[in-house]
Amino acid sequence: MATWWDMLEVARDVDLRAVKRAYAAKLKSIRQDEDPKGFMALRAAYDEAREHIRYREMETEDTVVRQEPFERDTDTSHDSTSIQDNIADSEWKMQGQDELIIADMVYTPTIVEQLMNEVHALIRSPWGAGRVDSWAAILDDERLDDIDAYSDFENAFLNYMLNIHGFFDEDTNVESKLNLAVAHLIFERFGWQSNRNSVHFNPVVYDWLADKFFQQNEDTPHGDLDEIDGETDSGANAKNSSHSQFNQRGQKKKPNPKTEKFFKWFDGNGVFYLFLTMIALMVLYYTFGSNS
Amino acid sequence: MSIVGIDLGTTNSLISVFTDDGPELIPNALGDFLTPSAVGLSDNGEVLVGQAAKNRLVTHPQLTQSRFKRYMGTNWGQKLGRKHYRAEDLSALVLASLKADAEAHLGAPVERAIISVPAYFNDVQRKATLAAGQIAGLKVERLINEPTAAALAYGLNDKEGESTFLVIDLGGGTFDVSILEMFDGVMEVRASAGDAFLGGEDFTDVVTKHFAEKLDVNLDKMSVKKAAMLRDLADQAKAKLSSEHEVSFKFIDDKSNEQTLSLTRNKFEELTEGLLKKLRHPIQRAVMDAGLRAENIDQVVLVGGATRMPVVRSLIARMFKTFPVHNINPDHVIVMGAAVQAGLVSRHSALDDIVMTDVCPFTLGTEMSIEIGRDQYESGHFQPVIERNTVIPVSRSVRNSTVHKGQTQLNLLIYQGEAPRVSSNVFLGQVNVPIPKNTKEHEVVDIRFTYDVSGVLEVLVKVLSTDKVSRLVIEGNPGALSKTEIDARFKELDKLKVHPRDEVVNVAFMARLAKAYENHLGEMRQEIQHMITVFEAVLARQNKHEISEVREEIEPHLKAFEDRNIF
Repeated sequence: MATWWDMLEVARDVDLRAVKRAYAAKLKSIRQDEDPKGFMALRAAYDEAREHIRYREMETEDTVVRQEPFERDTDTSHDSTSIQDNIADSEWKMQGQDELIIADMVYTPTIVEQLMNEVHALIRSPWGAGRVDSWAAILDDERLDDIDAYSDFENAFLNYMLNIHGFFDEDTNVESKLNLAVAHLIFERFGWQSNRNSVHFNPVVYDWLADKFFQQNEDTPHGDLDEIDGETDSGANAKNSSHSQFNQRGQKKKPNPKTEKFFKWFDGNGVFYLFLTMIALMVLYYTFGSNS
Repeated sequence: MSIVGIDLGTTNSLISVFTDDGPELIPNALGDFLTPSAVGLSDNGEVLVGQAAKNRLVTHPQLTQSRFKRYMGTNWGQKLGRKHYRAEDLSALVLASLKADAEAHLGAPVERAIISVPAYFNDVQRKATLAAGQIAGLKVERLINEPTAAALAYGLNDKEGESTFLVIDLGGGTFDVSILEMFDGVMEVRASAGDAFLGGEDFTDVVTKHFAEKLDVNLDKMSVKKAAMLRDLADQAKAKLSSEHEVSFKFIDDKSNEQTLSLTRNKFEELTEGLLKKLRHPIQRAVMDAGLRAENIDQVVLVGGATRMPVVRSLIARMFKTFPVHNINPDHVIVMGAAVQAGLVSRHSALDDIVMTDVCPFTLGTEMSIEIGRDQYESGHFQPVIERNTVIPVSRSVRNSTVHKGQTQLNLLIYQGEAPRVSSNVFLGQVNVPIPKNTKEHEVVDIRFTYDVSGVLEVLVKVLSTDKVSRLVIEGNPGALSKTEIDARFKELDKLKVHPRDEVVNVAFMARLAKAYENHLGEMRQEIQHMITVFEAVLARQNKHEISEVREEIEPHLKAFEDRNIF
C-alpha cells in the first residue's frame, strides 16, 4: 500500500497548499465515474495528508501557546476566537452548579456568556426548570441569529448541560434538572435528535443527555425521543423474525457502555478536545489564578 | 451528440446545453426559459405541459396536476381523465416536453441528459428521478445535486482562486444548503444539509391560508376551482411583495361577490416566521459540520426563485453579517450548472481544467441488533456504513455476524438517516441473503455499500465462510418502481397523445383568457368573453399568420385585465 506522500508525489513535510495542488493535479487525470477505485485511493491519500498536516500544526500551536500565554481579550464583540470560547466552556464546566465566574469580570461578557448566565439563573430559580416560555425566550434570542454566536452558544449550552448532569465526573445519579417539556423544547430547537451524527459532537453525548432528560417519567431503559417501536427480542423467539438478524461483532455487554463508547470516541477525537481544554485551563490559571 | 442539462423543479423546469461559449438555456415553445412543472389534459384529452397547463390549474383543476416532485418515489397518484398517474409519470411528461423543446432548438435528437435533484433527495427519490428520465425516453447520464450544480455555474467564473462558499438553494419545494471549497480548478462539496419538504410553495400555502381566514372560509370546503384561484392569487401576491411593500387583489368568492384582499410585507414576515425558523437550522448545521466560522466563508450564494423574497434575504444577511450574492438569475443557476456537468461528462475541451467532487448528504446504514445480555438481543438499532458528508464515489464495508447459530437466512434492512434507531430513519429497502446452515458458530458476513457519483446505492453481501458474494439491488420499497414497471410505463406514456408543440402557444393563450374570465364579473367578464369568441373564431380558420396577429392584438387588453386583478 502506497503512502500518501508517494500517492501524491510530494515530500512528507509539505504544507497544505502544496498538498491541495498535488491532489488537484492528480484528480484531473482520474475519471471518478470510470475509475472509482483510483479516485477512492487518491482521496484517501488526500484525507490522510490533510489529517497529518492538521496534527502537525496542532503540535506547533501547542508550543507557541506554551511560550507566550496570552492576555484575555477585552473585545466585547461576539466574534471571539475559538480559544476564548473554550475558556468560556471550561468555566461552566468547572463551576457547574455553583457560581459562574462572571462577577469579577472586568469586561462586558459576550453574547454567549450573557445568555449562558441567563440559562444558569433559570436553572437555579425555583420554578425555572419548568418554565417553557423562559427557556424558549433564551433559545429564540435574536442575537443568536448570528451564525457564529449560535455555534458558540450551542457548544456552551451542551457542555453546561452535560456538566450539571454529571457527565464529566461519571456521576450517573444526578437527576434531570429540567422537566420533560423543557427538555423536548431544547432537543427540538437545537435539532439534537435529528442531527445526532453531527461532526461537531459525538452522538454518545446526545444519547447520554437524552437518556438523562427523557427517562425520568418512562419505564423503558432507553428513553430517547425516537424510541417509538423499539422492541426487545429474546434469543429464542427472534429466530424466525424478520428483525434482529445481527449483532455487532465483538460487542459484549459492558458494565457501563456509556463510558466505554465515550472512550472509544475519545481515542479518535479526544486528544484534540483534551488539548483545547488544557489550553483553556492554562489561560484561566494565568488570568485568575495568580490573583486569588 | 450533445448531452442536455435539466433542472426538474417543483414549480418550474428548465433545459440547457453546454456550448463552446458556456452553458446555454433553451427556450420552450412559448419562448420562455421556465416551463412550469404542470401537466394537464386539454378539452379533447391531449396532454398539455407547462404554462398552458399551469393556467388551466385555475379553470380546470380536476384535469391538471402540479407540485408532484414532492411525491417522487411514493405511491401517490392522481387521475387525469381516465388514467392514473404517478409522480414519475407526470415528471416524465415534463421531461419529454423539455426534450422536444431542445430537439427543436438544436435540430437534432436528444437522448442523453443530466438531471438535477435536491441534495437532500433520498435514495428512493433519486431512483424515482432516474425512472422518470427513462419513462421520458432519456438516458440519464448522471444526477447532480442542485446546490452542486449552482456551485458549478458560479465556480466557472472564478477558476483560479481559492475560496469557500455557501450555496443556499430555496426552490419551489425543496431547500438545500451546501458548503463548497474551490482550489486549483477543483470544486469540492464539503457539507450538505437541507429539508426535502420546504420551499417557496410553503410560503404560498401560508399566505393562502391567511387569506382564507380573512375571507372566513374553510379552504377544504371551498370548491376546488375557487381554492385554486385563491392560491394562484396568493402566489402572485407573494411574488409582488418582493418588490412592493403592500399588495392588493380582487377575488370573486363562492357567492360571486368581489372581495378585495391585501397583504403588507410586515404581515407576510409575521406569517412566515415559522418557515424562516425552519430555514436557519440546516444552514447552521452545514456551517458547523464543515467546522467553519462566518469569516471563513468568502461568498454566500442565493439560488432558487424563492430566495427572491426579501424575508429570506434579510435572514441570511443577519446570519452572516454580509449581503448574499445573486449575480446569476436565481431561477437559471441550477440548469446552467447542470449544463456544465453535461460538458464535464462529455469531456468538453473548455472544461479540461475543472473537476468536481460531491458528498453523500446523509448517513446510510443497516438495521442491527445489539446484544444486551446473554442470548438477549435488541433489534432496531441503526448501524452507519457510509457517514454523511463522505466524498463520493465511496465504498465502505462493515463486518457483522448472524444473531443465531444455524440461521439460514439473513434479512438485511437498509436505512438512511441520522437517528440511532432505525424507526426514525428512512427505510430504503431490504435484501435477503441465504446463509449456509452452521449450528456450531455464528456466520460472518461483510456488508459493502457502494455509493456512486449519481448518489445511487448498491449493496454487496459476502458470506465469509463460503466466499459467496451476492450483488444486491435494493428492492421492495413500497414507493420504488421496478425495471419492468418502468418499461411498461414508458410504452404507455409513449402512446399518449401530446398536444402539438406548435399550437401550445395558442392553448396557453386561451387558458390565460379563461383564467381572466374566472377572475372577473359583470361587464368585464363580457368583454373577456368577447375576446375568447374572437380568438376561437380565428383559431378555427387555422391560418397561422392570422392567429398570431389576433393574439398580439388581444394581448395588451388581456394584460390590462390581469393587472387590474392584482395591484
